[in-house]
Amino acid sequence: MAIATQGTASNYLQRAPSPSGLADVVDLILDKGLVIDAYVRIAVIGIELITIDARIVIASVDTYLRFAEAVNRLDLTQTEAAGLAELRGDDGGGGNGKGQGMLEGAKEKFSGGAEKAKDTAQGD
Amino acid sequence: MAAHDPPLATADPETGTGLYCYGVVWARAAVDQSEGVAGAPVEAIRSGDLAALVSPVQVRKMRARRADLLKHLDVLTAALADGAVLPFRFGTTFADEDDLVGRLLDARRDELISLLKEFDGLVELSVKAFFRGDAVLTEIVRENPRIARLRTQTSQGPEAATYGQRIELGELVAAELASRSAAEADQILQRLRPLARKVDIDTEPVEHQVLRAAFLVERGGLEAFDAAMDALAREREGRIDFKYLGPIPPHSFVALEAR
Repeated sequence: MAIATQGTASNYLQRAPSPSGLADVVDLILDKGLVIDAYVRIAVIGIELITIDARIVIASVDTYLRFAEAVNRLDLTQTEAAGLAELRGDDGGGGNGKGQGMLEGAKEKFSGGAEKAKDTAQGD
Repeated sequence: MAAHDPPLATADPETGTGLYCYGVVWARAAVDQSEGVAGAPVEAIRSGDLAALVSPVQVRKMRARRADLLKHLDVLTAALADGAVLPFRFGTTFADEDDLVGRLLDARRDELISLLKEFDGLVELSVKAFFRGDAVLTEIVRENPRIARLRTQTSQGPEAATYGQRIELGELVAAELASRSAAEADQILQRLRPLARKVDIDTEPVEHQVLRAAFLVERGGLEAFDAAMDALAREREGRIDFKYLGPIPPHSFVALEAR
């Protein structure tokens, strides 16, 4: 799926014609769309787990500890200039440090779930 | 279908074959496709003004493979080029043509026709927005003295001694993330709502997710929506990442009355 890229001036964000990953398809076609009552759908057991995996429960002690750790890991000196610019209300689009550890962590978890489900689902 | 076989989809009880149904289109706009789920061709079954796009499958053997999930959406999206499409959820099957016509196309004819009319010229766009992890956390630490103080306190000393403080820190950060996420979502929606006929917001929380929403948009309004998305993404560069998908059939907006 197209994500914002530091691309040409004309188009910063591209619309993707089709999903790149299983996770995005699952959101769309397992939970949404027409259903006819009394019709049982084919087995999608492995796949449905992905959506559950991906939706991390926010309010838990584990999550709090993880957030605390992520905040402690931040290297604020690296982003000082950008951070100050933000505090002043500059809209220069700064403020981004180099790392994005937490989000990557979540993504890994996400795609890990997808892989797992894929394996389950592909076992014929 | 045998009553003792609840987990299996509708299929011919003897052969186990069935028709996998992708969606419903106008009969006049229905086009066969070469490949659908399980490698089977996609055919149109017509009844009056309506047609269902289907593939013959061995229902008993079929499993939801990654490729099939992608195919389901591919087939529907391809059909969208020829006119309105009412998408089914993944996995709906019928025993055979008579079953499909009798229990879907004929039984729900009026509803299906009115839905096709309602969604004519409309497409769905999917928008997801996520905070970039460290950027938003840095903001939070800088703008909250209490969080900054707890951060300093918990970064020193043994983990066991700071357990309570770390929980408190994490809780405060989680609350900040939630309120910032809600504020950002409001701002984004304010800009996109006027460009859509309908909006479907998924409220189930996902970590670092700011917004997950589907927009029902007129085909002619795609360009304006693209421009708005582009501007939103530019303004939030480095803080919020977007995933923007479409046009796809109106998965998030179609529904049949329960019977």
